[in-house]
Amino acid sequence: MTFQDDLKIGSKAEDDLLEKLRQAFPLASRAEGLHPDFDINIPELDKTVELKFDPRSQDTGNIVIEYFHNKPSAFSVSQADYWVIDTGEEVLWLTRERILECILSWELNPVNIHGAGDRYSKWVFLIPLKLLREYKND
Amino acid sequence: MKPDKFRVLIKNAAAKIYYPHCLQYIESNMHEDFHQLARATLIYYLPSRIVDLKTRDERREAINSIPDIADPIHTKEFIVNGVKALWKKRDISR
Repeated sequence: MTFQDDLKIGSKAEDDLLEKLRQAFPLASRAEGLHPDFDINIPELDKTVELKFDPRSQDTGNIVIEYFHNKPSAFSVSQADYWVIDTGEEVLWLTRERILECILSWELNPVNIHGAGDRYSKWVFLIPLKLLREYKND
Repeated sequence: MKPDKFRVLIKNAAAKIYYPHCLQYIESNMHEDFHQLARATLIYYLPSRIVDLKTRDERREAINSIPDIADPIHTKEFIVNGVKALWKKRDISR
């Protein structure tokens, strides 16, 4: 799967989340452009959300949390108050602090992966979904 | 550099505990191309070393050695939150 495919699928997942959020928070909106800080803004709560759509986790059992892709990225630079992990089957809401707590408490080591179509390899944490569930905020 | 060797070097850097010493280790032991990655990874290994310090003053000194503005952007916040999380876990297991 290419970067463009991932982008398309991620965008659809964002639309779905936005639609649900707007039922309670009509002013919720998507971040404009390629926004590294967050994906969705909820002005009514003064909160921002980063969505991570990871359907492959259903096969691998792991959620991929990227923190370096030729420069600090994703988890390293996100300003979002909440990370929403959508596996396609379940949705977990976590703060960045809780994800960090999971990584540190379980002494997870970063791994280097090379995604199809990526020019540079990425450094990520592969967090077992069953562990991450213990840290969810909802 | 192979990931295993990289992780060993980062663990060694974190063992220096005080942030400027950690950076000094990174700069002395890794090629410049890896410095930014090393700083971004150090964040995940330093909190456990700080929590292991014996006294509150030592822990405070280690945290105070991290500049407010560092690369990556959330460095100090990550490390402080990491120390708090590990401390809470340690407190619970006592």
